[in-house]
Amino acid sequence: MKTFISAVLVALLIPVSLAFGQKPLNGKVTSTEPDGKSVPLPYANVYWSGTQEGTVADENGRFSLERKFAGPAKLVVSFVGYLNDTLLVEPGRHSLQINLKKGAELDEVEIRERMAGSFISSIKPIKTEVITTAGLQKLACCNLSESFENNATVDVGFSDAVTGARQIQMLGLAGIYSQLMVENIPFTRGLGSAFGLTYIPGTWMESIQISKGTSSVVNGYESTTGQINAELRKPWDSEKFFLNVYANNEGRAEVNAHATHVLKEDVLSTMVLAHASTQMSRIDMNDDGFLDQPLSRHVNVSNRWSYEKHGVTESKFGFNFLYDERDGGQLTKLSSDDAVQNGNYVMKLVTRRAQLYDKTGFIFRNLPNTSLGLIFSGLYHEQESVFGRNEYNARQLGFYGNAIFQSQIGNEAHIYNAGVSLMYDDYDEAFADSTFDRFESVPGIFAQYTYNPDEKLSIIAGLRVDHHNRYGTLVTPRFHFKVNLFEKTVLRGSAGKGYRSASVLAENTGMLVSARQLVFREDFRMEEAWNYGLNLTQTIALSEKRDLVLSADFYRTDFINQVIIDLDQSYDRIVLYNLDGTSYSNSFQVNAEAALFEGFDVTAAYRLNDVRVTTAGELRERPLVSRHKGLFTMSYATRFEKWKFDFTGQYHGRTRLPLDVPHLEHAGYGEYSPDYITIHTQITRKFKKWDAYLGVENLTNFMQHHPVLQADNPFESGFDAGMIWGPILGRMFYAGIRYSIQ
Amino acid sequence: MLVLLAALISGYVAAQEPKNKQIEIRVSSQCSMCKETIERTLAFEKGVVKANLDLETDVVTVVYKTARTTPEKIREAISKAGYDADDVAADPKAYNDLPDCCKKPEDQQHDHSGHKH
Repeated sequence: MKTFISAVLVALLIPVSLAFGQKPLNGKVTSTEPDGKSVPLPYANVYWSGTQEGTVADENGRFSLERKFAGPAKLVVSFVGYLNDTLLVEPGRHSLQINLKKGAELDEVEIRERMAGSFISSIKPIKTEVITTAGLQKLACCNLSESFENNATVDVGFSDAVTGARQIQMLGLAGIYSQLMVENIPFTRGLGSAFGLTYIPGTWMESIQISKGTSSVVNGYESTTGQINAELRKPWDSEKFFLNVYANNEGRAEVNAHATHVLKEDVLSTMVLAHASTQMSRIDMNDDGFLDQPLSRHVNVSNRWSYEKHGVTESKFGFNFLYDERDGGQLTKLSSDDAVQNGNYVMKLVTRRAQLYDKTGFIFRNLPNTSLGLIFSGLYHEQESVFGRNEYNARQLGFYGNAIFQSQIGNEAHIYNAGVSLMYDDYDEAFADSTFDRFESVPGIFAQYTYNPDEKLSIIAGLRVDHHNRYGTLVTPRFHFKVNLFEKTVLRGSAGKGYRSASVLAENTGMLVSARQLVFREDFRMEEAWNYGLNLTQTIALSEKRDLVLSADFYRTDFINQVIIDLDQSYDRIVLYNLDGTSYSNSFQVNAEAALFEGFDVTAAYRLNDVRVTTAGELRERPLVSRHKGLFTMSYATRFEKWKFDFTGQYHGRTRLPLDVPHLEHAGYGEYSPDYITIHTQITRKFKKWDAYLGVENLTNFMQHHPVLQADNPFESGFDAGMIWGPILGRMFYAGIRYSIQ
Repeated sequence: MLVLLAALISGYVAAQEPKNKQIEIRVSSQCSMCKETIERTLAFEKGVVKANLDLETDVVTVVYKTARTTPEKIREAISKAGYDADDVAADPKAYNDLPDCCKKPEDQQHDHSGHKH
């Protein structure tokens, strides 16, 4: 029993999962009724012995689990009230049925909580919320930035009223303090920060894992407030062909197509993912003469490969290319060129981005739990843009490499990882008449030890040391634990340090669409913070099959240094400097999730953020961050999900507005923005080969009415399109279809 | 009055060609996973109102709209899902793709270690 969860951590530690691109194992868990009949056993835990890679069977007892090892592996199946079963699965096997016998091993079994569209993993020592494909489809539009709308942990909002860029917040702090990864490769470093979330189309993703607090040292020194990892669809088990067409009443259209081809069964497979979208209509709901959404054209193509040499090595590699073009500003009537001629405020932005990656794992078959993983990725990112009369042009050439060795000390209770990494980024940046060229080169070493004597306890301690060419030596200690206090009560904790180097212009598009003068008071140092968190998860059985899952967590982030973007000094300037005083965030969240009856799931969550920072010489609430947030979701599906109804309601509390902005006062706002409620709903009908969906976003039609201050005089002081606290877009209807050939 | 109305309605219904019919089809199901697969297949099949597979007898009871489908089409759909349906044999390709536990006993691998197929 103690054998299996032991390297639980491995998955975390080697988040690459060493990239074993095998076909997943499909199966079904059943139990035998007293009358001898075999019936599906829902929600059983299924995981690879000695790893943290696992899943929970669905309500029909079915599961699909990715292989973790190239060779034969032990699969463990467990469920409360049943005897565990461990079986050896040979690499060629793709399906099996497991029958669990009733038993009394109650205290030996671990429960994993599951909800239809999302669940909280209770095996992982770091609390991880998972948004599944079902959850992703609840909101059909459009890319990663929209995937968090029915999640209480991550907030999403527009970063300004001109570019259409969206940014997330975790623990009340900007998304830049969390680490965004795609298949465990850091995705948005540097210039990609502002628009990175929109670079991953919704239909490309298979699932998203969200963890709060610092994560494993294996992935680098970033991820101060949390980590978001998007898993994309896999070449070896996706539909042969998939097509999604989407349109909304505001003139946005989108097409996604994927095609998969297995060149050699179990050895080589490939996949092409393509996305094209456009914003065609000129929308100005608030009548301020500025487009609410820029006109845009976006093309994104990815080619993914999976290679496996049986029991020896496995590799996943590929590339993607992206082109994004946006025209915004005072373009409600004129074309971009005519508007410039006419003296209008025009925003034009063109992005080209190419990325190449490879993840290869080598297995040492004779040594248990021993493997070597290598990750490489190369990035080219180029942005040409004009914001009114200011040009901003930037280019980044980046390289990332990480080698991770894993093995055990004595037995599976003691697993360690060690490795080396290199990050290299070369930036050319020019804004107005200033240049910000620089390069960063950061070699690092790390080691992490995982103690996992039994499934009730796991402890991870990790340390990394990096040398930054500009900021010197960075020492990153991190610690995590998980303990099952009682059978259904899990306590987790984490503490650790995080660093990041700021690319202020790329990260804060709001500063660029403003007449505020940028005052760089000094050279920036590395941003540096401690993060501590505690999380308690309690499962209460409502009936044999239905659970109520309650969780409460508290996270604190304390900055040692932060790049302060001070909006409080005066309405006509933004002053940028290193933290002078204190800056912290306290975030408290409670969640309740329950499957009330067959097919009906409900979630309710409340979050309190107390985020303060020293600006204009005084400790104040961080501006444009809401203190209170509430979330309520309902989801009902008929049998086989033939019909599906989703409802998401969110309460957004008031936010502090920056000081001394007369135009905010003229617009009728006081010290705080008003609070508001947003509602999204969607109906999905499933047919044999295709699905159709119809939905409404922002049903209550609440909008921030003056997202652009001084919209009439965009070249005068006081013009500011970066003071965003609410929705810019009103009620929006959309419809689409998904078609697939298995 | 009510009695009269009820009589009228039942008379009316009886006079119509019955819109829904029920048939029983014997299928080659093995386990509860097969039940799920077959019922799911039929749930998304045009004209099928209801389908229930009894694993004791391996008989699936299907209620369908006579105007929209026929017993032949329903058997065909089951075959395409990889199962025999009365005298219609399972589509060989679909059968091959079935998980191990859904295959006929002679094709199954019973040990826990598994083999490549």
